[in-house]
Order: sequence, then structure tokens, then C-alpha cells
Amino acid sequence: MKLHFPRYFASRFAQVITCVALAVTACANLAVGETHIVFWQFSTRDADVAGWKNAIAQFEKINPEIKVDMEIVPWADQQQRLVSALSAGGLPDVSMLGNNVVAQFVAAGSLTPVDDYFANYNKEHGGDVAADVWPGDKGYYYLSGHWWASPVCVETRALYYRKDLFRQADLDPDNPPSTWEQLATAADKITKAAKGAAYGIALSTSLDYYTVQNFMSAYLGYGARMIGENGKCGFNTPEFKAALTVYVSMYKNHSTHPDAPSMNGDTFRRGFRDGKYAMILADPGLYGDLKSDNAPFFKDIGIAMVPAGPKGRAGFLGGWPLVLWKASEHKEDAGKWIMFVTHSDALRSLATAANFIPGAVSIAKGSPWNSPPYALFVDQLKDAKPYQYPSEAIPQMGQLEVDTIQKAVQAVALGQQSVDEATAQLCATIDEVLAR
Amino acid sequence: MATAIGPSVPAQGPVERSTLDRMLPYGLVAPAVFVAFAIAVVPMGYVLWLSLQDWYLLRRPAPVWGGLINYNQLFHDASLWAAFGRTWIWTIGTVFVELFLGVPIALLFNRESSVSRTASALILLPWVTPFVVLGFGWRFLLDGDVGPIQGILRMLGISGTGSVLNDPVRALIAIIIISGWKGMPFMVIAVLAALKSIPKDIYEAAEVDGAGALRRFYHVTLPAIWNTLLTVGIVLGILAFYSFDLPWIMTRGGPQTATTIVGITIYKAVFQELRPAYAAAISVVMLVLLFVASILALRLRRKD
Repeated sequence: MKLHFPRYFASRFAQVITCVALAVTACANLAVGETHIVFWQFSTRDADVAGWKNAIAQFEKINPEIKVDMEIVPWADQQQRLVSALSAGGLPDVSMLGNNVVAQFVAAGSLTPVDDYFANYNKEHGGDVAADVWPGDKGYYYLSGHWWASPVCVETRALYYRKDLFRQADLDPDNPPSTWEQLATAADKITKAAKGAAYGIALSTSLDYYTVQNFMSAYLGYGARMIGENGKCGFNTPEFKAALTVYVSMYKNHSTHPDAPSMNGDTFRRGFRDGKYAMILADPGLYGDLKSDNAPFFKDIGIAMVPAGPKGRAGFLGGWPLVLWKASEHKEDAGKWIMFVTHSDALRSLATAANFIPGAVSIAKGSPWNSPPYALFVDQLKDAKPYQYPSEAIPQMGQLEVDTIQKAVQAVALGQQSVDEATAQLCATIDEVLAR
Repeated sequence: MATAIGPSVPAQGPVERSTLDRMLPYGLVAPAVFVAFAIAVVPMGYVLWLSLQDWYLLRRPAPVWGGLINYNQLFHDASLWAAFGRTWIWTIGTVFVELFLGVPIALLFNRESSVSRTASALILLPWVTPFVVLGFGWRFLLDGDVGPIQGILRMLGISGTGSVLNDPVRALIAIIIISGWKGMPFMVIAVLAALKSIPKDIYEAAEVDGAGALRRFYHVTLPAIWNTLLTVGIVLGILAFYSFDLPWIMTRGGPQTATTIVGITIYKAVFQELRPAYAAAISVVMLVLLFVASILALRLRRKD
């Protein structure tokens, strides 16, 4: 056989070089022994993303063998992405999650409890991380005797109101409404006094989440509960009907936007920033937004606690934790990341950068959350409760909050059903979903 | 041996070439068939398999054989059949609006002028604009406070103080019109192409025979574009039947369930109720209904 030596050797040389290059690349990874943690983060805000990047850099500095690969999955898409990954594969190691759907994924058997990581952290750093979780959050994350999530952020809504519009309506600007009845009366007076220039309150009655996030403060304040002692719908009571009546009355007497049955929370929030409303129930972030807007009425903004009902005050309890997915092949390292970023200085830095109230009570009681505007929100967190309070979180909540409670509010607002009919229909649907 | 082998050698050449020739077309179409199989038949098979599973994620993390359990639930689900009813109204309404707007505009553009050439490019705008942009744009136009179209509707007494999107019947009509308006450019382009292919001498002959504009349209234009109208109508109808984006962005299926069409029901079944197998069963029924409807519609094609 005749060989063309130059070509033969050139070809062999190229093959050897390729193999060596591949081997070196592979060995480099093996030598370092890097583990990559896939982390789904849901916020697209620049400040949040920067805060997370900073936290990841800090973590990787003290854990050089672990790399956290952050993937941004917008809040609007996260449920679709998670459910798709759950059924078809592709779940991350760690992700954020809405507090109200943790129970849903626990029921689906797709999360890993974080009790061991809590225990290890306590052993290593002292203290009790479980005791540092907000009481309301415990109802969402401590299920069937296990911790399933470690909170990052906690949120509640307070009443922002414009003192200038209060004065215009002959209302005392230093005495904002403290009950739902007073809120409805004030909204009515302000709307009439504004003569079309502004509405009394930004209050949604649509199928948007913003509706249940507001309305839950009313029904819990009136003493209604979603799940009764018998495990079935507990809404068919005079308390719930009274709450529904007073809430919807603000739409019926034209104290809010005429499109409230089809508007979402973002539109209301934008409207308040534009000066269209005298009151809105909103999170602490709105204060910063108004400040950066240089809103002409900024100096007239007051913030008060969410109105109470006859049975007390119940604030909305939002927030999101980090969870560890069962599909993760790097649970130990993923657990390290979760505990690092949900505690101590890392959480403090992240919460300061991203402008939210931390999910750890001890951090939230320090600076800057002990001064305005945060202090009032932190104070109100002691009254913040989950939708299903006092029952334990239920897996079906993601569906119930949208397709039952909000539908009832919308039906009454649009006059399609009376309060009694809407309540009966609501309970029939809740019971059907719970029995499924 | 040499003599035995000798004659067979030249005989093999044509046989091999002919086999190659016969196989070549199959080889050429094989990649396309494979791709079509992978992207159409495999997912369809998966959906069919999934529809026969018992899989409610909150109760059962993995699917198990359920036979016809989903179909049984589906046939007793009154809200689903109401959604199917709405979907037919939505589909037929959308195609009607596309025809109602598309055919006259195509006839107008068929006249040679610089205006028609410019306008025929602009008419594509609704078709190429993403649903999200259109949805939010129309929400503004129909806003009960500042929406200009809402203002006109209020002046005409068609709407009250709130947006038409707050009223169950008007909301459905409004989004059907918007859906038809979005699909209309496709109809215009297709009809315009059909109109261009009609020989001018037929019109001249009809005119000589004393046919007016209306009779020329009815006896010359309409028969010539009928199959195009039907084919494009079916394609746009299928697209409308599978809609999800526009009603979801505009109304989230509300008020109440007034604009909940099957696409929204499937979305909710998977992502809110976590019942992928049930959603798959709805998809199969949807496919069968649409297939039957398409076959019936194709029978209306002109043979001559």
C-alpha cells in the first residue's frame, strides 16, 4: 500500500490534536470539579437582576466549586414553564415560586423538603431559621410536618391615599379610612368632589389576581374563611356576603374606574401614578415609583394600614421563596445556594438592592425596613394572612383564587348574579375542585 | 465459467440503474416525510396516548392508564360544551368578518392605481402585528374612560359608561370583529390573486350582453373566486378555531365565561388545573370536530 506521508501525517496529527483538546477540556472541568446549579429567577427588573447577580458572585466566591446558572423566567410565564417542565422534563435545581403555589407542587410530589438544610444551617451558624420565618408564611411553606421552601421576600399591601383629594372632599387627611365601610364612604365622597377628575379608589373587580389580593383583606377582616371545619367551602356565610357587598359597592356607586371588571392591577397602579385615583392598596415599591416619577402630588401621599373588618385586620400576604426541585441531581450544592441567599448578609444585600421586604423576620426588623415607608408595612405583616387562613395551604389554591373567588366578585359587580347567587355558585365550584 | 458470466455482466447494468432510478424519488422525499412525521404525526400520537391516561398532577405525579376516563368526564362537562359552542360562534363570526371586509377591499385594490398599490402594502399591517400589541391597543381604544372607539359606541348608544368588554354579549362581538379585522389582510391578498387571474374578456363579453356591475360580480367574479374564498375561509376558520391569544389578552375569557373559547379551556386545564391528560382529550375532540367540519366545507367546492 502506498502512503502519502505528508497528507497521512497531517490528517493523523489533526485527529490527535482534536482528541487532546477534547480531553483537556473535559479534564479541566473534572479537575476543578465544578457543579452547575440551574436557578430560575422570575423578575425581569434591572435592579432585581443586578441584585441576584451580585448574590451569585458572592456565593461563587466562597464556593468556587459551585456555579449558579441563573435563567430569567418572567413571572407571567413561570407557571407554564414549570408545569411544562414538570410533565415533560427540564426542571431547574432551584427556582423562585409564588408562595400560594408551593402546596400545589408539594402535592405533585416534585419538591424536596429543606428541613435538613435548615438543620445544618442552624448547626453551622446558630439560631433557628424556621423561627425567623414570618408567621403567615409558615402557613404556606410548612406543610405536613416539613419545610418545603425558604422565604426570600414577603409582601403586604397598605392603603396609599392622597391628602390633597381628601381635603378637597372635606375629609380629614390625617384620619384615613380604617374600616372597609369608611373606605367605601370616603371613595364615594372623593369621587363626587373630584367631579370626573379622579376616582375615589383603584379597586379591581376583574379576573386579574389584583382582585383577590385586595378582596381577601375584606373577607378575612369580616371573619369569613375559605375552607370550613368540614374541609369544604366555608364562604357561604353572612360574613362573606357582607364582605362581598361592601367591596363591590365601591364599583356599583361609581367610586372606581367603570372598567374595573376587566382591568388588571398594573393598569390601576399606572393610573394611581398618573393621578387618576385618590386611594389604592399597594406594596411598598409604589412609594419609590411615585418618588422617581416626581409625581406632583408626592408630598400629599399618606400611607395607612389596610382597612379592617368587624373581626379585625387581615393584610394580603404575598411573597416568594426558593424551592429545591426533586429532579435536581445536585441537591447538596443547591441546598447550600438556597440557604446562602435566603439568610444573613446575602439576603440583606439582595433585599436592599431589589427594594423588597426580606422573608427573614430578624433582617426585616433592621435598617432600612424600620423606617418609612417600610416600617408600616413591616408592622402590618403581623396581620398578614394567607387566603385560606386559618386552614393549612391547599394545592388547588392557584386555580381557586382565579376561577372561583374573582369570578364571584366580577359576577356581582356586573349585576349578573346577586350576592347570594354568586356565593352559592362559588361554593359549588370550590367543592367540585376540592373533590376532584 | 467465463462464458457463463460474460453475458450476465452487461445485463446487470440496466437493472441496477433502474432500481436506483426507482429508489431515487423515495430517497429525495424521505427527509421531508421524516420531518413531517416527526412534527405532525408523533405529537398527534402522543396527544392521543396522553388522552387515554389518568393524570391529575395534584393527585398523581406520573400518568397511568385511564382508558376513556377523560372522555367520560369531557362528555359530562357542561362548561366545556358551552366553550365549544362559543368557539363555533367565534370561528364562523371571524370568517364572516374576514369575508365581509376582505372581498370589497380586494375588489377595490383590483383597480390599477397608485393608491391601491400603496394601500395593498399597508393593509398587511393588522396581519403582521403581534397579538400582544393589537390586544393592548384595542383595550385602549375600548377603554371606558378614554377610549376613542368606546366614546363613539357610547354616543351611538351601543355601550354604557363601562367598556363594551364588560358586557358578555358585546365583549364576544367586539373580539370577533377584532379577530376578523386581524385576519382580513390574508383574505384580501388571496382574493386579489384570484381576481387577477380572471380574463378581462369575460367581463367585456358580459358587459356586451348587458350585464351590470352587480350581475357581473354575481355571474363572473364570484364563480371565479369561489374556490379561493372557500379554501382561504377554511384555513382562516381553522386558525380561528384554535385561537387563544386574542381573547386571553383582551378579556382572559371573561366577563365570567363569555369569551372563554376552547383554546382558553385547554390552557386552563393544563396550567391552572394541572390536568394535562384531560386537556389532551379536549384537543382530540377538537381535532375530530374540526376535521369533520373541514370535510363538509370542502364539499362546497365547485367542480367546474
